[in-house]
Amino acid sequence: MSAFDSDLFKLTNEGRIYTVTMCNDDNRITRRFLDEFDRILDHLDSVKGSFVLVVTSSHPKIFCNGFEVEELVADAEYMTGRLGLLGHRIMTASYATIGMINGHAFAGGAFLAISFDYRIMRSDRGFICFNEIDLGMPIPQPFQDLLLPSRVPVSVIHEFTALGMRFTGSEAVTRGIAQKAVPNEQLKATVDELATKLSKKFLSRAMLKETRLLIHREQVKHVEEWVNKTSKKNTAKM
Amino acid sequence: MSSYDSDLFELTQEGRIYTLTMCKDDNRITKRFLDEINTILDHLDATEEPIILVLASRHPTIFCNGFDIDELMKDPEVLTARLGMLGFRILAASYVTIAMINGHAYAGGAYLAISCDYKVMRKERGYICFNEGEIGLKIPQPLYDFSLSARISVSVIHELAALCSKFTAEEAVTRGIIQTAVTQNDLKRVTYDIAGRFAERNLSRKVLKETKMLLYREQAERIPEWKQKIAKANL
Repeated sequence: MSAFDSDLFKLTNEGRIYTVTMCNDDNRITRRFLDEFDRILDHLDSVKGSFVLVVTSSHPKIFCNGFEVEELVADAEYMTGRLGLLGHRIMTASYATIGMINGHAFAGGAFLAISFDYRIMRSDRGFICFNEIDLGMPIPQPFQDLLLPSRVPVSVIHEFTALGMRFTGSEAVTRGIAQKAVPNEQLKATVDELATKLSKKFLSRAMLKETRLLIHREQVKHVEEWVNKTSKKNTAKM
Repeated sequence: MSSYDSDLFELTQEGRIYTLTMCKDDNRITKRFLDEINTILDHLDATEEPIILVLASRHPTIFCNGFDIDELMKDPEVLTARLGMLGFRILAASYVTIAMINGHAYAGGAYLAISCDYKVMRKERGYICFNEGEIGLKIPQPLYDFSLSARISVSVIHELAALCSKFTAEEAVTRGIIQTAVTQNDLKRVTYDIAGRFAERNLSRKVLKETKMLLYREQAERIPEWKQKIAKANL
């Protein structure tokens, strides 16, 4: 049953497991992508009771290839700030989240992928990689301000972000960036199993939210600044 | 071709890959060691194209055994602060740094290795550890402030610095202290393979520096205070 249907996203749910499927080619991040994702999260925030969110892509080989370059270049601070806030919003969500990483996750796509509580990646293909440096760009400040130190182990953050090293699913698991890597034919079943297990635990929405705001308080400190920086141009949601 | 040659260090270059070989016995860190390595890094900082630095040792079984204790004891605050800042300099370098750890890396030697971006270490012998605790010293704060806190998880720092655990290469990989453990026969080949692959990517000096300074801004903030301490001590 679809509660949200656009050319960019499909939101469906089966019982207490909601799935957002990015369904526009390689799912380039645009202003509309960010706006629609925020609306989906607004809708989820209004759902009553505990549930689990799975985010995936309908592309056979790609989770998300990052920003649409022209839109990024037109206003880098706004776009990276908005994505930073989106990642932060996911990281501090009042429900558990799973990224079903069915293929490549590059740059902004890698950032989105690491915002979830869990990453189940494909072991047989696909890389997760912050390749900004190969595109001549440093890591955007909002990524560091709003998420990275909380999600990426300190021993790999420089390899991952500064050196732009790319990791297969298995390499990502070894480095603590992903939790599991399985062949494609097992991907959905593995995610379903995890989602089901999580949905059976009683994780109250309020408890999750409060705990996350505590654990991630260093990143929470930067939210207001980035909301201000991005709200001058457009309405940004927290 | 050697572009720097002293009794402590040899700097050679092949294309984009520089190799800095520590070549005096077990490579004890002294005031002169710190002076010379900083001069060499000044030289590398002045280059513009993307380069890779491999840090190596000529000793058959030792990478670096840390400070010369006699020298350290004459001026411990200044020397540990200088080593701390050297670690930051390596950490935040605008080029990729690789430590080719051919043997023991103790205390200050471990610190130098860990400060590098990528660590390849030989498996069959050699430990990496901070053994200050075993001689009654606590790990110097600048080492923690400038580099270790940016490289190693809190739980592993505790194992290394408080419990003075010593790790083989394989144990160090498991804990995220180094990336790759290989046999002695493969050490050079694997290290230069990795160096070559980084070299091929031509990572912009400017971009690398910018990202590193973002990642390490907490560590960078501590520099002025420590520089002041050193300046006062030198008066």
